[in-house]
Amino acid sequence: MHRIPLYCILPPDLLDRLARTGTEEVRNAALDTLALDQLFRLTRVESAARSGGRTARPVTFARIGGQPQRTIYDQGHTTTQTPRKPVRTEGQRASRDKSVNQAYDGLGATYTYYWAVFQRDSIDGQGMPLLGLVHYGRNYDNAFWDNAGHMFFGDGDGRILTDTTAGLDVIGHELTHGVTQHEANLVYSGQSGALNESISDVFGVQVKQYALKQNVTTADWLIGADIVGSALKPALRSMKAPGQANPHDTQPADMDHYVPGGDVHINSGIPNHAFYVVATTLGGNAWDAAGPIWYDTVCDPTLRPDATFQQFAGLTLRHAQIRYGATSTQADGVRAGWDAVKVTL
Amino acid sequence: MRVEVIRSGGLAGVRLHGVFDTGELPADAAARADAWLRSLAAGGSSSPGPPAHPDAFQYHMRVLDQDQGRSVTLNESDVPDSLRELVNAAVARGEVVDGRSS
Repeated sequence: MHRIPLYCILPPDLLDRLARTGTEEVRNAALDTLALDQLFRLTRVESAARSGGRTARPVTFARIGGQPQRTIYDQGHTTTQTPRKPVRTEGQRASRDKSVNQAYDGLGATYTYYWAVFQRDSIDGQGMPLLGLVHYGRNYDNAFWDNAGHMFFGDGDGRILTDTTAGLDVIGHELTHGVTQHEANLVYSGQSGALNESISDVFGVQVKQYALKQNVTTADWLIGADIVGSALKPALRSMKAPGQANPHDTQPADMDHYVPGGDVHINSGIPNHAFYVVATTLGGNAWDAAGPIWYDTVCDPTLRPDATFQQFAGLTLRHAQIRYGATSTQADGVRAGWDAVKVTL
Repeated sequence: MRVEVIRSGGLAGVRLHGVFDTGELPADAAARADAWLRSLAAGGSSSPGPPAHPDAFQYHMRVLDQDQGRSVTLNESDVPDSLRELVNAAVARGEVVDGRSS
């Protein structure tokens, strides 16, 4: 029999009620979830007791996850900040416009990654609709998440960037800014800003690897290879070799080359490379262990909005130990990652 | 009026550097841009607040000729309509420079 996972955003009393009054399918799902939920809550309480963090999150509404709710809008080359013309909604067949379909597929790939790996139901964990606004501006060489539920896509000018809907990693990067906003709200300057950027690259690259079924060895670990224009070929950033993605790339790969006052997209090379070393040291798929360790860290309520690289690194080690054990190969892998970029744990 | 424009940020995180003479713009656009830039305090500089969202652009503009010493840094969302054509023209011609600092 197929069982619907309800997971743990529902409070136990609601689950109790569903178990008593729901259809058989809902009842079974609720019972499964109650059993799991108790385990999660115990783990969370233990974790919180160690770290002094909060133990519960507010529930705004209940939804059975697993399905994105996508709508793509055509902004008609304007810079209007609100959605204009809806051109494809969830379940509708493909448009004749390639950008519309690429945006739709990229939002879907990102939803699928977060749901399949973490059972996270969209950006806010509560089923937030994913709205993609394509053809924003004229020759606009950027894409961004506006902190208010919209992802904007520029067509690029061909020189700096090309059509930004073509980058699965870029779409994953932008939507992850939304996840970070909800979970950690890292201040967008200094080291916390570089962490914010790095987290977007770390999960953006996994969205692409997951969709293309690439493991840590077959993946290229580049960011933006599918959307760079002529001036920035072959890619915007390299997590494998920060500073070597294109002739203008000045990302540092370790703390010896940290740029004081540097742009958040520059120093992000350091935590990016740490993740790359952890994932490749552990082998397999990036989302097997390295991804979950990073995800637990982003969702840790003790991660401060002004976190430094060192504080973030310390939390990744703690979560590797909680998930896999204090003397696990995963914990050793995390140590190796931060050691490689000269961040002291 | 000759103006240096540096665009930084964006998801690419690269810096574009361009110099543009407002005289190359249509007369009404040039007049609007010149008036806006002249209204800046000489020798003053402002630092913008935090960007409205991640991966936004920032524009740094500096007057190079008769009104030297006037400069301003604006978040993408704060660029006034008076400067829009100047910024777009300067960026279209801008060269990528290494993106070390913010």
